[in-house]
Amino acid sequence: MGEKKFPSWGDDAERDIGGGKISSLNNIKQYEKLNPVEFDILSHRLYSIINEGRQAVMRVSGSPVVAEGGEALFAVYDAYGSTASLACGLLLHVIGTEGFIREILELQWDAPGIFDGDIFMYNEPFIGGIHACDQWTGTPIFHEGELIGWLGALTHTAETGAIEPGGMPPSSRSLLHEGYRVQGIKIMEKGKLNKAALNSVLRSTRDPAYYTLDLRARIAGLNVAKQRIKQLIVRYGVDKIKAVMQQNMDHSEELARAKLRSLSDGTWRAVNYGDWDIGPGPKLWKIMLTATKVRDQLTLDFTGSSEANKGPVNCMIWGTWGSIFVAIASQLFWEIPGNAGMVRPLKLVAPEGSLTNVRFLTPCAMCPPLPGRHISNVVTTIIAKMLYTNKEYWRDINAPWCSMSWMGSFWGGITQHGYVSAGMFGDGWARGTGAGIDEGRGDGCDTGALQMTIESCIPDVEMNELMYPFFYLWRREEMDTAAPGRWRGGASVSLAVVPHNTSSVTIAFRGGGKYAEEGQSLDGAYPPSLGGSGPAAIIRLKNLKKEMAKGEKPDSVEDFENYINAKGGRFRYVNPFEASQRVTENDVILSLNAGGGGVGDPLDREPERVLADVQRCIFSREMAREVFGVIIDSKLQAVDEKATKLQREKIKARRRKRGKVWDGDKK
Amino acid sequence: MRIHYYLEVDKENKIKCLKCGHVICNASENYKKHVPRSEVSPSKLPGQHPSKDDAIVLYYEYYCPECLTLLDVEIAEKGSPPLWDIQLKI
Repeated sequence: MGEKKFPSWGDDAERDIGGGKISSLNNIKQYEKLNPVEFDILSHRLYSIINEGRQAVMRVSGSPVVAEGGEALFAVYDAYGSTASLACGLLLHVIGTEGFIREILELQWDAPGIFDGDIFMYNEPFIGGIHACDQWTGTPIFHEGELIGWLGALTHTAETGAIEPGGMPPSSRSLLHEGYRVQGIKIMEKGKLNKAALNSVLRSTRDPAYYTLDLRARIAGLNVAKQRIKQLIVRYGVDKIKAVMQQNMDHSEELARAKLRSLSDGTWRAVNYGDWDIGPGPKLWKIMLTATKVRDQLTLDFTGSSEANKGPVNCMIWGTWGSIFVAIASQLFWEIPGNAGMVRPLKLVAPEGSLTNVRFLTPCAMCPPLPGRHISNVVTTIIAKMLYTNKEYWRDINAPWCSMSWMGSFWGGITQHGYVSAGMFGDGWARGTGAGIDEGRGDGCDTGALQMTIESCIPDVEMNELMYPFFYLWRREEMDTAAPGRWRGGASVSLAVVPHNTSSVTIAFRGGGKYAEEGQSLDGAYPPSLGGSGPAAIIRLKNLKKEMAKGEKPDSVEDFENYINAKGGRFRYVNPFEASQRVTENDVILSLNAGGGGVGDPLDREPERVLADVQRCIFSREMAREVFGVIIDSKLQAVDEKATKLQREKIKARRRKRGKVWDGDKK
Repeated sequence: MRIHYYLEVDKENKIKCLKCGHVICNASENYKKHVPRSEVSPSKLPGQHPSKDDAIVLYYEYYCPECLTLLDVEIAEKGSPPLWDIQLKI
């Protein structure tokens, strides 16, 4: 859509779009305000309808990513595509999907026209969404010949027919490498399935079965929600339904602006680094945010961020907006109903050509797990700092929790059931959350959630083993992943999987943290780590399948070392990114995730809390001693108070000795 | 007004340590340029961190000059000036 004016027919004109008319943009913004009781009832009813739609999507889809993990978004939009209400596990996509509706209106109003019963499909990251895996279907809502709104459903469909299986190919060097990109075709026309259009997708993917399940799930959700909206219109009248959509957005905007006004004006800055592009060695890139709040407006300026990467570690502008929304919706405006009104007080500056706003055809498959995560991190950081300026919000202060992940995430091959498939391990959603402060929650939540999929559940190991040709040696909270601070971050999971009952399977790695710390903490806490089992690796254990049949089950990195010494094999530590590679039933794929950020000086954490952390295997004794300055008597399982006092004094003496005031400005 | 877990701006518009009361600088300045900092390799911490040879960014620790409370752990390229992360309009 670029800089073109939307709608091209002007703000005051209505238009015949085939199945009816669309009123002018200015006209739909004029509405008779509902009284508070009606507004409360109807806005909640609208939300419950789209939430029901989302639940329908999750129940119909068989994909672990959607059905188990909840990577599904559902929204209702006004006639021009502004999001009036949303229900989502994936916070990333709300604003981005509006672009799809705008392009449908601009390109299809005349030919072939837009009709009741049409269902359009998109997964073009340049227009909306985040990357090609994000597959959106939307349907218009007509009432007596007038377009009054849209419904949209989005799922993360893991296989896109890209140059590698699993939808997010590390070896992508162009958007053209990232699979099919559907540009608003009608999957259904006037209520009938368009089989030719469907085939154009099904014949472009390695896994038509999952695609069909996800598509039908989205259609089911749209049908359920549309039926409920029509019932609502019968009961309350169409004018009130149109009004509640606009009032919802205006209400959220009012609340968002009021909250911004209650915080001090100022400028806050935050930086987050990444360490890999296309290899063979590391590449340092950064996301730089300067956030300026003046009265009721917040400008997010990413000037200073690195130029676009050559590989897929990039964000289209919608990926940047989505990653901002993750932080805004979960940290700053968490109590405000989610819709387009929430972002009206925000202004985004993202230099074109930087990795926050890459040009058309630049690869962007890794937007959510890499630069997107960094964007959410820096926005979360500046929100926390802004919230300090008003005591009323201290309990909401949260350290960043989009830390490093280094995983063998994407697989493709022949399943144990004999068919070709591909997918993504969603275990990394079980991340530790960021810590709060004394007046808030305090410690982060262990394996709480991934910030971008805040409503998601971690897929069951058993479901993954049922659907994917792998079994798990372990998936567990990993020691020393949480960020150490006065308040600690939550711990995250590591996992070790082995291919099982498959004649051919590949695995691809994505991540970071080998060369640069990517996670952040707040106000004196150290960054989180990838834990004690790293680095990520493929571990060949000779005759593992035969040995396991006899009852052998290695359960730690130490067990792997012992196995290799006794029976043969080797470790191969992987790079942060590695393209799809064959693995066998004698290979263990070890994946790591760092925990949530902490808050405050670790020396301020009460020794008894540190002891409890050690007893729960959240932190090692080494971490307790070296970072918290807490000495634990191993026999008594108690804090050695005298030794702890001495250790903490020693750490402070070290700080005094090595600390020097910056004098670079004088040079 | 509080601006940080350990810092506030007092009535004289000075940035002050909340733990020990030490006055660091004017509110219009970058407090990190007025407190001791030290460069630390991430590999000094337990857990999986970049090794000393591999690390391409470092930790810069900032301390209260008086009570030596760790105020911030900034991740930055070697030799980077202190990031002005809190710049209030006062």
